[in-house]
Amino acid sequence: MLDVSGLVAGYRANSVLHGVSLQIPDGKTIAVVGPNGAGKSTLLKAIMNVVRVTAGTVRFGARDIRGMPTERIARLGIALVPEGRGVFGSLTVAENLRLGLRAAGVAAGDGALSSVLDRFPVLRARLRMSAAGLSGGEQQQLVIARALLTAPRLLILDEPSLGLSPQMVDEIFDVIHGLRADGVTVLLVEQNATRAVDLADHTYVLVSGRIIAEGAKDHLLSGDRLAAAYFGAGPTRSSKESL
Amino acid sequence: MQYLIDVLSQGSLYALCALGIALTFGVMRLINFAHGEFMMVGGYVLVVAGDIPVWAALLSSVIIVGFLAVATERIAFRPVRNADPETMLVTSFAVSFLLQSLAVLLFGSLGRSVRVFPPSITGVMHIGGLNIRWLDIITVAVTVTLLVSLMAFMKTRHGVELRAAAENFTVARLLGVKANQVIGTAFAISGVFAAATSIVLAAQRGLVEPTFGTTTMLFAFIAVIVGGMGSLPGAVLGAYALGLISVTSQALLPLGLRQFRDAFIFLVVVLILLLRPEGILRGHAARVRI
Amino acid sequence: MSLRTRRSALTVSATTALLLLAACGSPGAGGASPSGATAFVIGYAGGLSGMLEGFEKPALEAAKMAVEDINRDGGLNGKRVELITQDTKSDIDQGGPAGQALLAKGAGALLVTADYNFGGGAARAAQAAGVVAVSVGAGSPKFGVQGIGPLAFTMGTSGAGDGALTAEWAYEKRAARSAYVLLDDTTDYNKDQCRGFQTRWRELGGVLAGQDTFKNGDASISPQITRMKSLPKTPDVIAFCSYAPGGAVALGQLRSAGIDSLILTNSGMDGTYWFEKSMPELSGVALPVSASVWGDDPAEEVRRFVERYKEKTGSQPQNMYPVLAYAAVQAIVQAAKESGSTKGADMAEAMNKFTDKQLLIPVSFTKDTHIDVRRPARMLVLDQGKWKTDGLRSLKKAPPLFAE
Repeated sequence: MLDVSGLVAGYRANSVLHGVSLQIPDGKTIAVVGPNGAGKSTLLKAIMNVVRVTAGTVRFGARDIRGMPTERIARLGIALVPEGRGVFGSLTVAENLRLGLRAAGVAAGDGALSSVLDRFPVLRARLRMSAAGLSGGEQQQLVIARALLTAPRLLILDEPSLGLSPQMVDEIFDVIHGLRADGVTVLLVEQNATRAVDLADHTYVLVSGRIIAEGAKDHLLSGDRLAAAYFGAGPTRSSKESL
Repeated sequence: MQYLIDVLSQGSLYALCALGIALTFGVMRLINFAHGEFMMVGGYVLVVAGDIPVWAALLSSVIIVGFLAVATERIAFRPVRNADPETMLVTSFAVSFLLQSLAVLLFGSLGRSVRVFPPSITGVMHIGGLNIRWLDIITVAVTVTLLVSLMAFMKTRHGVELRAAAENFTVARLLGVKANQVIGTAFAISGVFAAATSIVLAAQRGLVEPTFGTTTMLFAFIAVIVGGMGSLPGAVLGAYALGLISVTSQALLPLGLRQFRDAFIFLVVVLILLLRPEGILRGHAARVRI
Repeated sequence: MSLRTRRSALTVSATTALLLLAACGSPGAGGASPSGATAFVIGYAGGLSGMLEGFEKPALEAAKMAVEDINRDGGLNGKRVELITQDTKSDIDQGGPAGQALLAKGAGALLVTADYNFGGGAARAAQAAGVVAVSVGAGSPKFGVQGIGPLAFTMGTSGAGDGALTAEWAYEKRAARSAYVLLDDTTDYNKDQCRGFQTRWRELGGVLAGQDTFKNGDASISPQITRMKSLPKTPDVIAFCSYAPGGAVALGQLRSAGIDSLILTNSGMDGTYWFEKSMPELSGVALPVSASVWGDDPAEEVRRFVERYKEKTGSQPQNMYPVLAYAAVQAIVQAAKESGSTKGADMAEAMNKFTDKQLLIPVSFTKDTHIDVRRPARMLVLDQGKWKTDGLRSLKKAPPLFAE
């Protein structure tokens, strides 16, 4: 479905990604893991053309989407849930959700909304609240719900568990499990490597802007392959914190 | 009490102008110094309209300035949209200068007198010892009407998209909000506010010259900063606060100090900013974007 | 009198000075190419574009007419007189460079903008080069020995004198006894005008009912009106020291608030452009000028000149600056003739001796005073939207030119 190859991207003169390639097949859950500063978020932003791509190709289905305006990529059916949530705090919960609905169209709106709200019952009670007033976990649910309302063909989640309590992390991973079961194609970027790898059909390990290992869960988790690839000389402080 | 009317009237004028500035700043982080010249164009439309019925003159002003604002965005600001703020600022100066030069070329630098409303509604009403100008009532009424309309618009789909884009443009685009459309909408509304400001200002001044909008725009710009960059309620609040400060300092300062009125106003503004560096209401500009 | 400094224009010009240069390329010079040996070159450094254009272009037209007339009558001791121009783009900072550019092209005398700030730069350049500079109408006594230097002159009259004149006229001819002083403190000329008025008003025994200030850029003077309205009695006259555009705005607001006092102002409020649509029936505004352009000037030469100007340009002048600019060219040429020299110092010496020198209007200077304090003024009075001349008046007692 999404086919990235030889991607070079970054800010101004500094490339963060040095030739990244990955494939996301239809209906699968793919994880990208890696330490802080590996370029995970940059990779996602490059896919969405938020960050400038200087070389490589990005194909979505049969289309070349490299260099397309971000909103057109979104309208083709890729929903990115950005790191740090990205709720619109000045909007109500309902307004946040309505922003997502634009793809579904007004007629389909109510049905789509209620089915998504079934998945996130906590939001239903808070529809008229200002989104800024939600807890961290609720905000994360809101942005995922909002992204789902765009009826994406590919859902990209950037660090969904970041900064959440362990209990909340469980909840979020339950939701991702649910999506997976429903056949939604998901690209999951996580520092919480073990859980991500455990969940995903296939995992890429990104370090310093390069994919240094990939494989299915059994392959990566056997022996110390993941730890060696991921942590290099040893666990960094930040990755330890997030684990 | 009489001064309160002055505050309301002056604050409303600043609010009309400040909202126009805050709207485009919100979505584009653009400090549009050409906003005053949008107003100036609105003023000249009223001059040229001459003796056609009032409603037709006002309508043409709104349409032409709205169109001008959208066209300016398309031609001048879109190419530099992703450039750094300084580049955009300089571009807005260039647009401002261009429009002023054009006005000098077409109408001369001396200015033209204009009568916006018939004489019957430029007079004064005396109510319980108060002198209320019809124009003050019109100014406040126009501001309230536009403010309510703007609030209603902000609840619509396009309005929600605009607010989302103002808060976090990238995340809005990630949701498929069309950047060009949102920015175009913001400029169109900004143009309507510029036209409304120019109507009130032209009625109040009776004269339109190439620097017609400059001073009001500068004060409105200060109102936007005081209120909190990028926050629309902040812009309104800042505008009325500025109206209050300038009317009270004019009314209360002793004669010898009155010539330093503007310095005094700016001193109060600086004090406010020292206490609240992000303005009375914190704007979204200060927040982290993805 | 002076072209009032426009605060708003200043703000813009300061910030866009660079853009100005970038956008418009290098400043160009107009007029024929000077030929120093056979011609005497006068340079005009003025705001031919930008915010002063409305004042300067008509003045330049008049200066051209003067040059044509002089050449038709044989020029300057057999030499042709030529006029070259340099646009300051109505930017204070461009004044000096514009003056220098003209001097480099061989200008033997300069005409400069009718304002101390805008015209001062070019005049200083001329002073430094030993060349006479004549402002077409600055109202500052600093345009001369006490400021720019002994080679600087102005065709204008002083703010203090203008203010005093209106005080005498209102007290004597209109039997006004109570006055309110409303000062737009944006320019020194305005301050001088109000000071001159107050000085004379007190000497005459008039009552000062109150005073207030505003700024030219103010969109509204409501607080000032509120204060004025709180007076027990509406004053007979308002000494209104301001200029259009801001003055026009404030004056309109006074009238629409129902304040009908006679308004005493200055040549910065001359013209019909600022009220003809907004207050077509406006009355009760009076101001002193050196020449009326409204067809009824007491001097036949002025009336004839205005007619010729209208014929040539197809437009009604809005103020006296074309008349002053014409006289300025005459003054320069006359000084060169009388001194038999085109050296700045010699010409200045000759100009210092002008006493009621009959040019298009009478011009007087002394060794120490390079602004005319003798010229009789015409009181222009606005009646039902028409400017009418209320005779010639000379000051009975002049207030000090400079504030203490």
